Parts: sequence; structure tokens; C-alpha cells
Amino acid sequence: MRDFTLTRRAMLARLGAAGAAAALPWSARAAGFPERAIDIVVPTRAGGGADRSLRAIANVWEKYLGQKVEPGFFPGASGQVGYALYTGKRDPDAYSLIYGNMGPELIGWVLQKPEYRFPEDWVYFFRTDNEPTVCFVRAESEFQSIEQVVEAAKKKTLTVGTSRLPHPASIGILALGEETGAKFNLVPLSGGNKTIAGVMTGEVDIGVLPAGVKPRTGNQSRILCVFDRKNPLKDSLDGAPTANEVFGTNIPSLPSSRAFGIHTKAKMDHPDRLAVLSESLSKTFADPQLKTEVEKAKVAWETIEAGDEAACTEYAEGIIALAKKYEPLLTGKG
Amino acid sequence: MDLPFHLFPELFWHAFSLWYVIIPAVLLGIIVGAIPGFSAANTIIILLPLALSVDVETGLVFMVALYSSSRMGAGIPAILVNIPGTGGAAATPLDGYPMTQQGRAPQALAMSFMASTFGGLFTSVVALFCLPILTQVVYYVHSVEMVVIMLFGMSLIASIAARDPLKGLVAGLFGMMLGAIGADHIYGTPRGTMGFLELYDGLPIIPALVGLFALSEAFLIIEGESIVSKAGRDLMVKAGWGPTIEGVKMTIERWWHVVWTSLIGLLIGIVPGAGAGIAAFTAYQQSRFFSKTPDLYGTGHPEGLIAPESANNGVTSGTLIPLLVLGLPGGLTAAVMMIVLQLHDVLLGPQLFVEDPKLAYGVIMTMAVTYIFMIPTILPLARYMSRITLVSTSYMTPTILSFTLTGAFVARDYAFDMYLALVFGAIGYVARKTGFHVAAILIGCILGPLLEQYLLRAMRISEGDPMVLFSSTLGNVLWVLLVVTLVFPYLFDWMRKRRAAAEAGAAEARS
Amino acid sequence: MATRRRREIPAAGEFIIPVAAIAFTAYYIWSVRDGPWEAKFSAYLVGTGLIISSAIFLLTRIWRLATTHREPGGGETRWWPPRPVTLRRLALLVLTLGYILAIDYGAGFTLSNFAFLTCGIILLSGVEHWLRAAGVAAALSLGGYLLFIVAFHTRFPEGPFEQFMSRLLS
Repeated sequence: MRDFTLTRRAMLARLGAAGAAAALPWSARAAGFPERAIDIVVPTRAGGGADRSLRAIANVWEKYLGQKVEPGFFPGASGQVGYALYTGKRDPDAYSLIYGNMGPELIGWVLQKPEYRFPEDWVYFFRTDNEPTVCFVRAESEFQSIEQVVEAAKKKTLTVGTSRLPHPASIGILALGEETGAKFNLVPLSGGNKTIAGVMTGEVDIGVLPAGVKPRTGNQSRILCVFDRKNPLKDSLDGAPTANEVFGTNIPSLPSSRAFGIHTKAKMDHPDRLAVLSESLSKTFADPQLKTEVEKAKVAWETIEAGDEAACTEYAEGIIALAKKYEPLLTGKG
Repeated sequence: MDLPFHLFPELFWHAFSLWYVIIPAVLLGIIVGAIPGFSAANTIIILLPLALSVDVETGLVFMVALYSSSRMGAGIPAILVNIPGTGGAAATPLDGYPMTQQGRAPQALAMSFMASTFGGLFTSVVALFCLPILTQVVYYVHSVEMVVIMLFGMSLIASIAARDPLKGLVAGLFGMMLGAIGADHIYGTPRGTMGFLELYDGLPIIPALVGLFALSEAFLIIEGESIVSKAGRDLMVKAGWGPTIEGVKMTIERWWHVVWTSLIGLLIGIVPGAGAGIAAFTAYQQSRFFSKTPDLYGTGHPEGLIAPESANNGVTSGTLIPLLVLGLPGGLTAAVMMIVLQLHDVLLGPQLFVEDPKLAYGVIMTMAVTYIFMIPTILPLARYMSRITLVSTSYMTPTILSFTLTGAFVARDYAFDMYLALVFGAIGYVARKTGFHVAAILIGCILGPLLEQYLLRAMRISEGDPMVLFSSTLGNVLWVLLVVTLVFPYLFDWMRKRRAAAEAGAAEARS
Repeated sequence: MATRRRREIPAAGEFIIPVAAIAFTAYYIWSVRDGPWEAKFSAYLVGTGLIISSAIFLLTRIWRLATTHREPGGGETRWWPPRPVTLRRLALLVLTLGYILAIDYGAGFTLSNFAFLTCGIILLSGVEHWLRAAGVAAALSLGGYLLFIVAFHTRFPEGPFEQFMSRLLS
């Protein structure tokens, strides 16, 4: 019972803090950016992966920013709701940022052709993580290695569960099929949880997802290969090789990669503000406290990898090109 | 997996000793359950800091108690004011609300509480003792089987609209068409969204639900002084504890009904992603199929209330099985529970039962114990809660409108959903006024998109071969049962008429 | 199958749902014209069924209308209620729409609720009960504020009241 009252009080303190933070914009503060809290549009659900890493980063970032970081979650339409809101309804004054998963969201942008434009309306300026995508099976599966999967898929089409077609992991298995002549039938199962369920219950033969599937499933799953040029998580991913290592192929890195984005107009009009944001983020990633926060949020520390605007642009251009290449397969209009 | 029976008594008493966590969680669960659109999952997300700051066991007990009681809470507005706040409660007003209108709200509430708690208690005990067998369900029920299960639920449209089949068909198909709004399940092509991003993920269920049922009703009830009929009001005003006790007795007399409809819920609940809405409609449809008085369904028939209420609590027990045994969350609440457990370093899956059997079995035991606590907590309130139905419609109507529109908003935090609820209110109002069954539209809206999703998935896996639908043994057994369900009522009816005609003929011949 | 029930006089209102259904289906089919077959599946299967059944329904009703001499909407089915109720209902509909617009466009949750509940109760119970209406509305909207905004942190658009309160509480 005591636990409860204590935490109740902690909760109230938190609520009070949130209330105070909401009121901050009204109080006059010292000059210099940022003068008020930074509002972050997150185009995915509260409690999801982006929420977790953002929470960890924000705890350190606020120290260097001298302001609160306030996430708002606007999930829906594979991220389109959040991006439409950010590009259309938020002021381009560098007080409002977007924190998105570049891979699926840019592929979605290519395929769904919404009204907002990249990079005219927004750009990514700071990458926070790089989570490789993997191919996995359930522990009881007949497939022990990716070679066996490819061999079997040359004889008979294998069904591949994926969270949705516009996802780097889907492109990874399509590219592998193209390079090896194996036949894969992608079955979108609406989300990571349902993809895991599809693989674990034997509805589909294999699955492709970001590497986070491993800590989620433990020894019930076996990772067969990684769609990346390197595998920073090798030991924690059953020692799985990269697809390129096994088949000598040249499949580009297809990580699921989160980054902060900003209105292109804000970048042009307020380069000084963007510099403050980038610098404070760099300091955040150099701070040893970040590791503690990340581990507390149960995010694999190995996936945390800061990257500047150039790294973001390189990733974005690569993924957009791949999305265009596989557009017929991913939209059914081929 | 060997069941550690020796642990059970200890776990039982231990769960009991956590009463100070369970009772507040039950009360909170009933409140959040009764708010339309405000799910247990939302509540847990809000209380995440709390759930993470207590030890894993306390957090888990709190979440489980909240989850099971919120399911029961959703039945309260469904019965009293025709507002089903979640898909799981969508079948509850079919017979619950007519009972309220007849002035039998305390009976209806008592029955709903009893059916929910006993359905939940029974299924959680079954889950505890048959865990290894029940786990197998997930390996056998795939898309193909779900297509047939969905058709069981859909066949309810036919029975609801028995009096005017053409109107029923139009209503049901219209519902399915509306339910097909949103991105397609394979390629994400937007369909029928009228350009609204808010509709890309499909028709949101809560605005449709509260619009069709509650908003349309709110505009209708202003014709009268109260939602309860005049005779019913006299009954209610005089009522003491009698009606509550009567409701309890009515449920106990139908104990067998509670048992088997809750088992339907349990089995459907085990399938990841199936959900309480399917279970409630399937249980209602099966209950009607086996009933000797199918025509009474929809008029305030006790079995019609017991079936969905015990089934949706059966789902709650079922959901725990894939979550704990395989780490597969069956729904949003289970997914949020899993996040909390992961943050506490608890890895769900078969390993959990080896490494920490006390925690694994303890969760299911806690659910059973929660139900034991629920009865004394909630039952005495039935009498007082029902008084709300006596409030004059001049106060009731604006309150219902504001409450349901708030509910439409909070489910996704979109203002758009309030407008959408109003549109569905208009559809529901016209449908009621012109004899198109609102329930048929609703079943189409809820089950239609799920049917399409499973069907397309099965077709995708088979690379477009429709024969996949008849490719599994369990699936084929279900197909046969479905045909039986659809044909037998007509066959029996025809045979009865033939026999009656023959007897009449024979009697005539004799005279 | 010509039972007594089905021989009732058809009311014009009966046409609304089938006509709406046909119109919506037509739009839906148009909206997926370029999509892959998976996207068209529902449109073709369910949509065709819906258009056919709605058309049959409409044709039978129109035929019946043509063969009977009564006006649509009249007769003993009486789905159109007495006028005062209709007016009140329309007023309530306008009020409800106003309520949603108010929440959506800056008046905030609490104030919109207070205004809507007060006006709604006065509309239905008469202006002489304005004090009681305002009292009940104030209690309900304050309760709603505490529950939804303070306790559950829902993201209702903030209005002057919420902003004032959050400044006050800080």
C-alpha cells in the first residue's frame, strides 16, 4: 500500500510538472533560442518504439537545451497524419520538430504520394539510431540458416510475414529474392506484433522485421540474416550473418532509422536555431548519461548512432530510390 | 508444459492478499470501462509511470484487474443508455437496453455483472488448468478459420433482420461497405476516404458505435419524458433490492448458458488479434441458434444479454494465454501490458513458466481472484446505477450527447471523430425511423473489415487461390457447422409447419 | 411472402438509406478505380450486392407506391413526428454541431461543454429552468474537466478555461 501512495505522489508531481511546462510559453524568459519548449510531432503511437527512444534522448537533451521537450503523438495512415500535421499546421520557426522513422515513412511517402513534399517541406537533420532489419523464423522452424531458406524458396515460393509492404525489411527480402532467384511472397500482417504472431503460429514461413524482434521473442525465434552492410548487434542476434556476407550480394543497408526533422523553411530562415538544436543534440549523444537513459528505456544501446544532416540525406535518397525501384511490387500496380 | 498444481493454493492466497491493489483497480476499471472510447489500454498508458515505479507483481496485478473490470464496466452504459463504449460491448445493448426501457435496468445490470464475473471466473480457471491444450489453439486457427468464425458473427444479420430480409440485407451490406473505408489491407491503397487522412486506417469503430447506437437514440428519446416506459417507471420507483436479487437469480438459473458462451469467448480470445467484438456477436448468434425462443432475442431476453457479456469476459482470460505462453499480445491492452513487462525485464514466452512459474500462473490466478472481488464490489451498485434511467430526458439527452461525443474524441484524440460520430448518428436515426436495423449496419461495420482482412490475407498466402478457404481440416469442420447454423433454423421451421399441416390434415380427415 | 407487415404504406424516408448506400458505393468504386484487385475486392463483391439489393428494394417500394393511392410519408406508418418535437430535434442538432465546432475551434472542452449542456437543457426543459440548467451544466463540465483533462490528460483542444487553470495550478 505504501508503494502506491508514494507513487501516487510521484505521479501528482509529474502532473504538476507537466502543467508547469504547459504554462512556460507564457512567462517571459531570457533572450536567445530556445525561449520556450520544443514541440515534437511523433507520427507513431504513444508507448511505441519512437516514444521510448525519444523519452530517453529527451531526458538528456533538455539539460543542454535548457528547455522542455514535449512530444505529441499523431499516429495514423502509416505516418501520414503526423507528417501532414507537421508540414501543414505547425509554424516553421524551429520550435516544432518531427521525430520519425525515416525508412518506412519515406517509402510510404513515395508510394502514397501525399501532398507534402520532401525535401521541399521538411528535411531530416539529426539521426538518432540505426536498427538493422532482419529475417527470422520461429525456433522450431525447419530452416536453420538463410541458405536453406533461399534453397527452399528457389523450389517453392515461401510466404514472408512483414509489418507492412512499405518497410525497409520488405525491400530487404525482395532484394534478396531478386539477387538469388528465390521466390518470396510478402504477406503484410499489419504491425510488428501481428507479424511476430504470424511467424510464431506458423501462418507464414518466415518473417522480416527490425532487429528489435529478438529481444521481444528471446529463444522462441532464430535470426537468420541481417539486411545491412555490417551487423553491429551480431552477438545478440544469434550471430546471424549479413545477407551480403552469405551470398556475395550487394544489397544496400536497410536499417530502420529514426531522425529529427525540421521544416525546410525553418532551416533556411533560422540557421542559427537549427545550429543550436544540432549542437545540443550532439552534446546529448556525447554524454555518458544517455547510455543509462537508453538502457533504462530498454532500447538496445548498440543501435544508437548519431548522424548529421548529410548522413540523413544519404539514407533518405537511398531509400527513396529503392522505394521507386520496387514501387510496382509494393503497390500491386506492376 | 507440466502444470504445477501444488503451487495453485499458494498462488490463490497470495493473489487474495493483494486485495488493496485489486479493489482500487477494479473500481478504476469499471469507471474507465464505462467511458465510451476510453479503453483499459489508454488508462495503462496514462498510468505508465505508476506501473513502472511499483514492483512487477503489483503492476501486473493492477493491470490485470483493470483490464478485466473495464470489460465489465463497458456493459453499464450499453445497458442503461444504449452507449456501447467498445466493440466488445456492441452486442450488449441488443437485449440490455430493451430491458432498461421496460424498467428492468437493475435486473439487466445484475445479470450483466453476474454473467461477466462468472464467465470471467470460469474461463480463467479453465485457462489455468488447460493452459497447454488451449495454447495449441493459436497454431490451428489462422486466417482461413477466422474467415469462417467471422461469417458466424455475420450470419447474425440474417437472424436480426428475419422479419424484413431485404432491409436487413441492405443494412448489413451498407455497414460492410462503410466498414471497407480505409487503406486496403495489402497495399495500403486509400479507398472511400473522401480525402480524410483520419479515415486511412479504416473506419474508427468507437465513433461509428456511439453514433449509430447512442446519438441516434438521444435524438429519439426527446419524444418522451424518460427512456423508461411509463409502466417501467412505476416498477423502478418502487424497486428496492428485489430486482437486483431477481437478476442474480435469473443468471444462476441460466448457469449453463454462462458456461458455454464464456467458452466461446475464451477460444476466440486466444486467437491473437481476434478481439471481443467478434466473440460477443458470435456468442449472441450461437445463443440465439440454440434457443427455443429465438424470436424473443432483441426484445430484452435474458439469454441475449448473458451471452455477449460472458463471452467478452471470456475473451479477457483467453487473451492472457498467447500473451504469457508465447509473448503474443492479442489486442491493444495486452500489447501495452507486454511493454510494461518488458520494461520490468520480464520476457514473456514458454521460458517464463520455467523460470518464474509463480509469476506466470500468478497472473491467471490474479484474474480469477479479481473476479471474486468484483462481485461484492459492483453488485450492490446495480440498484443505484439504474436510477440514472429515471432522469428526465431534458437532462439526459444533452448529457448523453456530450458524453458520447467526448468518447468519440478520446479514443484517438481526433476532433474529426466527433463529426464522424454525428454523421453516424444521422445514419442511425434515419435507419431507426425507417425500419433498417441499426444492429445490422453495425455488425457490417465491425465484422466486415475484419472479414475482408482475413480473407485477403488467406488469398495472399495462397497466391490468389480461393480453394485455400477449404484447405484446413478445422476450417472445413467450421464450414460444416456454419452451414448447419444457417440451414437448420429454416429446416426446423419447415418441418414444424409440415407436421402441423399434416396433423391438421389428419384431424380434418378424421372429422 | 406477402405478409401483412410488408404491405404497409411505404414512407419517403425509407428511400434515404438505400439511396445513400447506392451513392456511397458508386463513390467507393470510383475511388478504387486505379487500385490493385485486393483494393477493389470489397467494392466489387459487397458493392455489387449492395447496389442490387438496394435497387430491388427501391423498385419494389416505388412499384407499391405507384399502385397505392396514398401520399408518401403519410398514412398510418407515421414516421414523421409532431412538429414541435421536430423543431426541437433540429435545434438540438444545430446545437450539437455548434458544440463540436466550438471544441474544435478554440473554445476548449470545459467551456463548450458548459454552454452546450446549459443550452441543451434549456431547449428541452424550458427557459424557466435556466438556473438549474446552468447549475447542472457547470457541475457536469467541471467534473468532465477533472476527469478528462486533469486526471486522464486527454488531448482536447485547450480553450481559455484550460489555459487559465493550467496557469493557476502552476
